[in-house]
Amino acid sequence: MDAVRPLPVLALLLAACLGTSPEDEARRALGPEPPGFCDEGGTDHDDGEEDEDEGCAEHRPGQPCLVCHDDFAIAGTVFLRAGDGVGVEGADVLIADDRGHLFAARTNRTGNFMVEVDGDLRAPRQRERGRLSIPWKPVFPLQVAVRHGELLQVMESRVHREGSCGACHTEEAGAASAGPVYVLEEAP
Amino acid sequence: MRPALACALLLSACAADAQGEVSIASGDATTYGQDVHPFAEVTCATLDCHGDPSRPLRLYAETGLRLRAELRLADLPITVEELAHNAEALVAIDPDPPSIDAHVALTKPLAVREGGLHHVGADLWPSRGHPAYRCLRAWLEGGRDPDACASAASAATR
Repeated sequence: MDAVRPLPVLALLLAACLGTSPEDEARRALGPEPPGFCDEGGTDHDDGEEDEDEGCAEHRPGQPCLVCHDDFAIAGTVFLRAGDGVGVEGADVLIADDRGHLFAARTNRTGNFMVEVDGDLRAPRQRERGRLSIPWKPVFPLQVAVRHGELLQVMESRVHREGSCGACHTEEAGAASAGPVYVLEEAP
Repeated sequence: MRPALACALLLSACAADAQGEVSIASGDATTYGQDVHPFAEVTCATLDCHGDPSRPLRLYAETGLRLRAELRLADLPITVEELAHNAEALVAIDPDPPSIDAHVALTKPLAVREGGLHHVGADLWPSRGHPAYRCLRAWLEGGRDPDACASAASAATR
């Protein structure tokens, strides 16, 4: 019998030890890309900046954005009604952080918004397709409200640490979730 | 076994028991609901903190985690059963601390520079004089500090 070579054995052992991280598991749990939100491509945003790696800003509405986009400070999806499959365009997500910074992000055509920190800025800047850049890292806890036209919903509790709205606001309301973020009806 | 060694072992066992012996109350749900919950709901029990059932300390709240889905769907206020679970969880997170002031429910929110433990949810209480610290401490001892609890609730909702 041939002697077992040590290097392949070592590599196999290492691979077994590495396994899958909780972050990998969370990404896998999101499932495949739902069709219909980014069929036109959309890897480049419409603000003239090079951002091919940022993907399509309209994809996966309602899902916890920061599971993959850990460069976002805050991100989520606003729906008009709880049962809507697609979010609402043009809603403003009003956020006040613990240092008194106030900023508002406007949702894109699938209801998505995303807040990023850009230390080179001096004031918040709303960009295309739901992207808001702010000059400071938001300090938790956050107070949040959502406005769409005349409609205003103020979040009852504060956000203490989670940047993804979809982490708590899941598709179905239940013991551990108030359901999606929506503006037309009262939350359950 | 030699008698001296056996005696030493017995003594050390007795000493360990005595060290961990502090008076932690049984976790009265009624006073928890009146005193502690009004600030704990706002500052501790949100869904992204201790309203996450996977966290070591799990707290129910009307605006956070509910014991059953129908409580949220019917928009019912916090129940006696949920308050009792919270009271039990707070005591059980550290059932045998060396002293009241070392209880994890007090040291986790307390600022590290004041002797607190690292807390992912930040240093919530800058010192042991914070009203929420005094309120919870009194409750853990089986007593009450109504003024501190009222101040804690007021500060939490500002």
